[in-house]
Amino acid sequence: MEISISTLKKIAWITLVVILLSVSGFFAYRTFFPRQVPSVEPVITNGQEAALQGVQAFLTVDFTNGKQAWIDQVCAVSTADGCQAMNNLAGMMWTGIKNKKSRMEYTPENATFIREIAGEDGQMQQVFKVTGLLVDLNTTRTASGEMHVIVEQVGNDWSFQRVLFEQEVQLLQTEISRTATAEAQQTREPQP
Amino acid sequence: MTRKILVCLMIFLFAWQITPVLADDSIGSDGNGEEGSGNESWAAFFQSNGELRADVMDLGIQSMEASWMPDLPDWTNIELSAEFHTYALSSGETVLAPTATTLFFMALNPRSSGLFDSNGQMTTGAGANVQGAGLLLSDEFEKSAAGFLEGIAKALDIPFTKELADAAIAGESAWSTINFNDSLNILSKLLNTSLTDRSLFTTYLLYSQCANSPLGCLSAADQKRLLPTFQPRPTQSTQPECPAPQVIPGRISSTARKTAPNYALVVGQDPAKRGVDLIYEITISPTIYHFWTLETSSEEVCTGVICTLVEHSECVQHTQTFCEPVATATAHASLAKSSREWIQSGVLQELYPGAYLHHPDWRWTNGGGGCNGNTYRWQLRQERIQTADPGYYDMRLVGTTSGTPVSPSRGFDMTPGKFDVYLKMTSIIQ
Repeated sequence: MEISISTLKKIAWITLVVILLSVSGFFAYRTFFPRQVPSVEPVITNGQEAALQGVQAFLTVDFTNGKQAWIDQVCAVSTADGCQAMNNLAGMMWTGIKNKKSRMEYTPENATFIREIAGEDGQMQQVFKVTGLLVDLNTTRTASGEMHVIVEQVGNDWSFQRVLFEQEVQLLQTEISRTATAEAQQTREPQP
Repeated sequence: MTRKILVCLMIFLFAWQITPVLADDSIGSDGNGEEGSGNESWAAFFQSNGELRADVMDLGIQSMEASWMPDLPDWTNIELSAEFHTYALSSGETVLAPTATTLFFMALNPRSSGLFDSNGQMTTGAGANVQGAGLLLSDEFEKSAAGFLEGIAKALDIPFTKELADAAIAGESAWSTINFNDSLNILSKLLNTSLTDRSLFTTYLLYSQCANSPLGCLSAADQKRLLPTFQPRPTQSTQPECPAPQVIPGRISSTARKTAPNYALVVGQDPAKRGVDLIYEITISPTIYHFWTLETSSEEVCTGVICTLVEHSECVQHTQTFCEPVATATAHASLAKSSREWIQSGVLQELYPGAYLHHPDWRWTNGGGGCNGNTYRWQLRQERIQTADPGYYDMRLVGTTSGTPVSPSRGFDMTPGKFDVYLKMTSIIQ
């Protein structure tokens, strides 16, 4: 079969035109339609397991086992500092637990990464929001809600540090919403 | 880690020796001074050496639910209580020593917590930070309430900005003046150290009327109930005195006997030279050591929101047992005195004039033993002893023990048995 020079030229021209149309079409699309980049939140799971374990240990408490058993249970999944914090906090919480004869069992369901921060000593810490189901073993009533916790990296592992108080969570949420507002304002500002 | 422990121990020891730095009466409900109570009020509680006065009731650690303490989510049904070591006079004057964590949250909420309602504040000389705070508390009270709060923060070794203090004094939410990271650092520093130990109290708050104190007044019923459980500050004199250690040495017992033959002959009449087989045994029972340790346990006694930590001290007996081995032991066999007389001057001498003692005394040292549990058993077997003198032999054991870790060496000298050696005699019937 013989291909003439004129036929080759035609093919080359057609190819060139197709390429030019594609490129100009792409730029036209980018110009007239804003760039839609899906905003995917980074799913950080490093300390997730530690967060789940920590909340489970903290919220599973039985006054008949005594305070020390509760402390030991939390310390088993905690950093050294976290264990110290538990020792310091347990006394303040135990009076109420004992008076109410509390017997509770918690089953964590999900831990959502909220923020990563560098601790004072340089260790990485992560804040998680944990959800799950709390069963009152005395009445079998259930309750659920959010519990914010902080976990810390120790070597290659992550361990539970402590639960956050509501006041701290409010500060955190205020800061998150403030940051979100600032970012939204930034995106609304016209591009130079 | 060791350094941390040492510092905490020093703080604890210093804190125990309460040394009034200054009783201050300048802070009233408005932060500018109200009811005066001066050093006399402190003197009603503490002696000049810092010890509690005898008529002060030590109510132990009292807990109370407080709106100014931080919260956990409601659905968890867990609440944080404020804790105070509480001292009271029958007149109603009260001294509260908040735990470090409680003190911090009182400082964040000085009005609602009743911190500013105290009629005097005192710090203990507990380590550099607290001593520094003591100066601040004594000097800065009169200058400003903010200085007072900053002094508390310094005592707790926690950053506490003036803005935070101002907000707290103004009754605003002090939390709003700090960001999340700072609050995290502050609380971590507070909670992650043993400074917050429930037994460490650095600041004492005096309330000339118990009604003004965060705990309020104890009801008459509460007082009646709590009074029997009042525990004076633990001192040497109030603790039960434990008995001195007691050592009960194990009994040393022994046996000795002839095992064969039933009727041994003197060697001169025994052509087979059978001789006598002997066995000596010593048994030393375990040495029992009783000692007592003073052990303290605490129990929370609660009535409503008021809980008292009642400490019980008791002497707990412990017992150990030890094996006491034999160090040296010599087994003897000696012809009895009566037998000697029988041979030398008695009937035998009449029948065999000139009869004499050939070998009346024997001794052996080749025994051995060991501990079985904590009981020591020693044994010596001697066979085919060629006894030449007839009569009864006393079997004697003499020696010493090694002692035990709790008891000295002992000597023993026992005669646990005897054996007989016969002489065949021919009687001529007349």
